[in-house]
Amino acid sequence: MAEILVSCSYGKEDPERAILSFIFANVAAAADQKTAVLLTIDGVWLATKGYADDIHKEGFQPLKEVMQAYITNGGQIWACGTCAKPRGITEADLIEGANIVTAAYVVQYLASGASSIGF
Amino acid sequence: MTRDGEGESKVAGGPIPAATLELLDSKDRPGSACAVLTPAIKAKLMGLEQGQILLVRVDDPSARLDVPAWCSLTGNVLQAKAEEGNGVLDFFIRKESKR
Repeated sequence: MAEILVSCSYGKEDPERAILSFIFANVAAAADQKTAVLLTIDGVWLATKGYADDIHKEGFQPLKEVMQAYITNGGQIWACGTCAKPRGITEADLIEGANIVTAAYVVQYLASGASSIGF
Repeated sequence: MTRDGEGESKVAGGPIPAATLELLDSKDRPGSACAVLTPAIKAKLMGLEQGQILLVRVDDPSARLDVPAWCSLTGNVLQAKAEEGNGVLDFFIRKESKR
C-alpha cells in the first residue's frame, strides 16, 4: 500500500477543481491506497459541515456523493490548520472523517514517502 | 445478462462469474467511466467471497487501462478479458483481496 496526498485549495469558487480532487482521491482509496486530501486556502471550507452539499458541476458526480464514497473507502480529509484559523474554522465545524492538521504533520507524511498530486 | 446481477452471465468462453457489473453508457464519452468504474468494482467485490469472479462489462475504452491498473494495486486478479465486437469490453476479475 502506497501513501497518496491529494492537494486541493479551491471551494465553491471552482467546483471542478474541488470535485476532481475528491474523484481522484476516491479512486486511490478504492484501490486500497492510504489516501489523504489536504485542503488549503479556501479549500478548507470543504471540510466543514454542509458546505459541500450544494457543490455541483455538469458532467461530474455531486461533490457530497464523492466525498461520502471517499470516506467510506477509508480516505482521510485533512484541513490545513493555518488556513482554518483565520477563517474561524474549528474541529467542531468539521464533517465526520475530517481533521485539522499541522504543516509539520503533512511534511512528515511526505517525507515518509507519500506521493502528492494537486488540482 | 442481468444488469448488476448475480451469476447469470452468458459470455461465451469466459470464467463463470458470481456477479456482474455493467457500465454501458460511456461509449461516446471515452474516459467518462474513469471516475466511477474502479470504485464501483471495489464496492461490488465487497459482496463476494475470495476466489469468486466478478464480470465487469463496460463500453468505455479507457477501461483497458483502468481495470488492469486497479487489479495490480489491489491484488485482485484479472483472470480474462474479451471484446464483444460492439465496443463492450468484458473483464473477469477474481477476488483475492480480503476487503
